[in-house]
Amino acid sequence: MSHVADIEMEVNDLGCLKEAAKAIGLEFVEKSTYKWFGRSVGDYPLPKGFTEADLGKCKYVLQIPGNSKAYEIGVIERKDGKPGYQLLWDFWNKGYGLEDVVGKDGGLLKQSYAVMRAKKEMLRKGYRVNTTKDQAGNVLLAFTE
Amino acid sequence: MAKKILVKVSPTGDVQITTSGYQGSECQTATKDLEKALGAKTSDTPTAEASLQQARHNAEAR
Repeated sequence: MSHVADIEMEVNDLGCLKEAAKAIGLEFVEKSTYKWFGRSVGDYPLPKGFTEADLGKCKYVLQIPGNSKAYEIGVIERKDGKPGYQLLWDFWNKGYGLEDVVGKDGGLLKQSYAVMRAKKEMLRKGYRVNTTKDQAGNVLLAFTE
Repeated sequence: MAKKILVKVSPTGDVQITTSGYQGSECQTATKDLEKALGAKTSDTPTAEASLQQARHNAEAR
């Protein structure tokens, strides 16, 4: 089975994506293919703008170090022509361990990226930041001038 | 009151931005670049203080 889906997040900074991936235990590598089921069996809609032939191809990969069973996340230039990247993964059977790291629908990766990106932007503008985490797992960033 | 921008990022990746200490639309200017950096999936929540200021502003404008 194959269920390749777009992790819905706007990636406009690869440096932050690298840091975000590292923070949750993934490594960012330059590789032209990402691991997935390997063929589309037509039981799940293709990500918008993608054909079957596009699946599995990418510019960079996010992978779990030392885990050869787990599927991987492909980092692909946006298909709509805008700058930035989109992330695709095969979430069938929880990506054979990948979901445990990135969270359901990639939520923990999205969280980690948003935290890195917000910090980078605000530190660039000269703000100071205090980072805390609450019991529900929310990351709270307090920026002061 | 010190100007502060609070960003709450949930484990599902949802982002909520709250400001305090800013006057009127000043807070939107302060968070504009941040919202752009984070993409469209954010929500702004004005603090009670900001809502009160806006209500006062509206009342004065009448």
